[in-house]
Amino acid sequence: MKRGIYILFVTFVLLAAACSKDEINIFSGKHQIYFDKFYMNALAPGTEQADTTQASFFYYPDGTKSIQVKLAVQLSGTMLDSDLHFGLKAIEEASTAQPGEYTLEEQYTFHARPVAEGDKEIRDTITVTLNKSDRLVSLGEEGIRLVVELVPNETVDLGQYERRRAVIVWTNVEGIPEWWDYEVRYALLGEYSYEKYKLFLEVVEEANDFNGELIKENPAKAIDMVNQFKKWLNEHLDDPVDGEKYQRILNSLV
Amino acid sequence: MRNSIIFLGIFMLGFLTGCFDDEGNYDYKKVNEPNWKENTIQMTARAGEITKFRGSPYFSWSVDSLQRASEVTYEWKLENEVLSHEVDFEMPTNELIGRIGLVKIESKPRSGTFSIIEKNTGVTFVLPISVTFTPTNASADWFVLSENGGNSKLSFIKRVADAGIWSYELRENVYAETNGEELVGTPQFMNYASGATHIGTMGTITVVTSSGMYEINCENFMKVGNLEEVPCAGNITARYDVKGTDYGLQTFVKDADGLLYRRMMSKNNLMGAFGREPMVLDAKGYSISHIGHSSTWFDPIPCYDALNRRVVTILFTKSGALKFEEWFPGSGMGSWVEDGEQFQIANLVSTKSTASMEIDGCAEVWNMPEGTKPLYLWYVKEAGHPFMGGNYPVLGMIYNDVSGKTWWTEFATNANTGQVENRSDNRLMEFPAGNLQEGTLFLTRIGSNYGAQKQDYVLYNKGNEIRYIDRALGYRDQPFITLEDPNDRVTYMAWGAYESYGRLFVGTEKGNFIVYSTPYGEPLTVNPKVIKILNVGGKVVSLKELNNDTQIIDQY
Repeated sequence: MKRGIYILFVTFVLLAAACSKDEINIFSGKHQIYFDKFYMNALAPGTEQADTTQASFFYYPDGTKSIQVKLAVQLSGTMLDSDLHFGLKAIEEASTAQPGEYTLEEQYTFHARPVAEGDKEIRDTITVTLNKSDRLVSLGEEGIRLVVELVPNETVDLGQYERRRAVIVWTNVEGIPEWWDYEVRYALLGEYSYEKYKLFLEVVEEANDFNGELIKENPAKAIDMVNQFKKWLNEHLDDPVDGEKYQRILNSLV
Repeated sequence: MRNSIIFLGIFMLGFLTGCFDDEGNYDYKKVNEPNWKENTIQMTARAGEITKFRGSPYFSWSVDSLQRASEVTYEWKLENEVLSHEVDFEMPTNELIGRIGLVKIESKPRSGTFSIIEKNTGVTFVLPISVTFTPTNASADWFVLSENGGNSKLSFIKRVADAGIWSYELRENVYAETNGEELVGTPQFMNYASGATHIGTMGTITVVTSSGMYEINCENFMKVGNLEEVPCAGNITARYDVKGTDYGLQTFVKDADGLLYRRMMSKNNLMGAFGREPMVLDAKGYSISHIGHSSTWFDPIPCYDALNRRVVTILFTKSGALKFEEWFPGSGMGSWVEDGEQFQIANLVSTKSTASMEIDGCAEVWNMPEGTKPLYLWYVKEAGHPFMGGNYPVLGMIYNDVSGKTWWTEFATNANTGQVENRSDNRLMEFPAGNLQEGTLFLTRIGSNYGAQKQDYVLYNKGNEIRYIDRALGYRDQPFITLEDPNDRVTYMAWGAYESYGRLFVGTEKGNFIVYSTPYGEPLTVNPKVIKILNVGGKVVSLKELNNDTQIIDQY
């Protein structure tokens, strides 16, 4: 009997021990930095998609020579007790940007700052300067592409492989309007393209009024404007210069 | 040890119960149950009328029925509300609606029971009942548009049960009676929009005369308006409505110039404003002279562009995001499924093929010869197979050439582009019954519910006679109906779609509304039984059957 009680007691003690929690430190180990966005699709089993940072001089006053884009950078490893410095370099073979069309700093800084309780990421932002060049306008929607890569040093390593680089594309064209949403894509104008929207603005009366409010408040007028656009395109398909472009745009309308 | 003795004792007690004598009563008494004649009592209750509950036709007794009648009582129950203890009784439908707490009239039937209860024993015999509530004007009723001197007359024909057989009652000139004004001008055409449920449960009727346009609520005959919202040149000359659950109602109207305007009722356009811009086809422009017969669903609608002598279609394409779903994870095999809201987009498209291969087997419907006069266009059938290259619509046109010779062509079209394709379904032949006059009436059906056998018949009129081409019998010409009055003439034909195409409705020059029996599942017979003849007093121009059943996609 004594032996049975002993076995029972031991079993209980072992089970109770299994309930104890081991504190997990979120931020520990050597520092690693990586971009917020993936520059390539995540390797399996990851599912994240590659993402590009886009910018346009279209929204800035005429004469603007340069603009800055912000890139979010993340840190893993132990908490910072002082600022962390690292570098950035252009990957020329993956870029179309020429040296004068962008400016990289000699050194970038990941600022040491307190991390709020519950935060699972330490994040900071760096900026890259984009310079407007003469050829930018002629490049249209394609724009200029710059791929930059983080440069490690003795205090910091590189983090996740698919996030070591960032892709920046800048143009001089208007970006996709916010109201060009699901309904516009599938029920009115089709997929967005710069050449389509630009032509729409040029040839359709009151096209500047075409926005989310019009689509919601006066859908018949929105449909009318698309019909006007179709009619204009049909009437200009034999244009010797732009006929093919007009046909392409016409085919892309819903 | 002590516990073992207790368990053994309980176990032994259990065995002991097996030794007890069974002194239950197993004498059987014969139950004289009724012989039910149907599995269910199905009824229709029209708002504003008297609903007749009849139990007696549904059962009989094997023994002395008088004696059994004195031994039983009855109970009618609907939606758990006891309505009566009589075998047969009547109740105003509006009172019935209040008793069961019905707040909305809808097509879903309400269920209940009809019970016969033995007074002495309480034994109950139950038969289910199913009651469909309808508005006062309901599916399978008809509107008739007819000439009325220099004006137009709208009459209403109600389907009624007459000694267990559906028959019809005429209520003449309902528009004038209800609205205190005549339909001014001679009648041109009538259209039924069953999907216009934002106005009334049964939709609206549009009547166009030589002098005006009227939109009328089918439930109460009240004028809704004069279609002032339609942005067209002169009065509209045709109207076509399609509808679908989740996709709303789309209305197409044709103006005097042959231009088509569309109204698309969507989540943003619930009350439905028409666009001010006509639909666009291509750089050639268009002038639609004929809109063919298709469905009230989103099937292609064949039209004839008289300006360019070609068949074009109003083509619907579903638009919305899709995603690929694998049948088995990691297999790479799967199918595209809808991923978000889907829209039904209507476009006017040409039938001309852009493929390099020449199209043969059918008329060049995209480029008809000069002098072509189309008589009828229709959606013939859906061909192909979803897993064998996909389904595709086959359309048809009957037309006269410049010499007056009548032709019949069928042509397969691409479901996504509307362009004619090379298929074995393509056909071009002389009309099997010789030449026809312009103005000949035709009648086809597209719906495949309730038996599809009548899809093979193409009815047409010749004076006071109706004949048909049987596509399933080698396109053979067959006699069908000859009006009794040799001086009368058929002016309109429509299948009773709501009645499973089991009735043919015919309007005549002399104002007759004739209902013929064409039983479901049976071949057509020569001069079928006439169920009813009513007269509206002037030449019948149009007949429209009411229906709010989304499965019925033929509308004439």
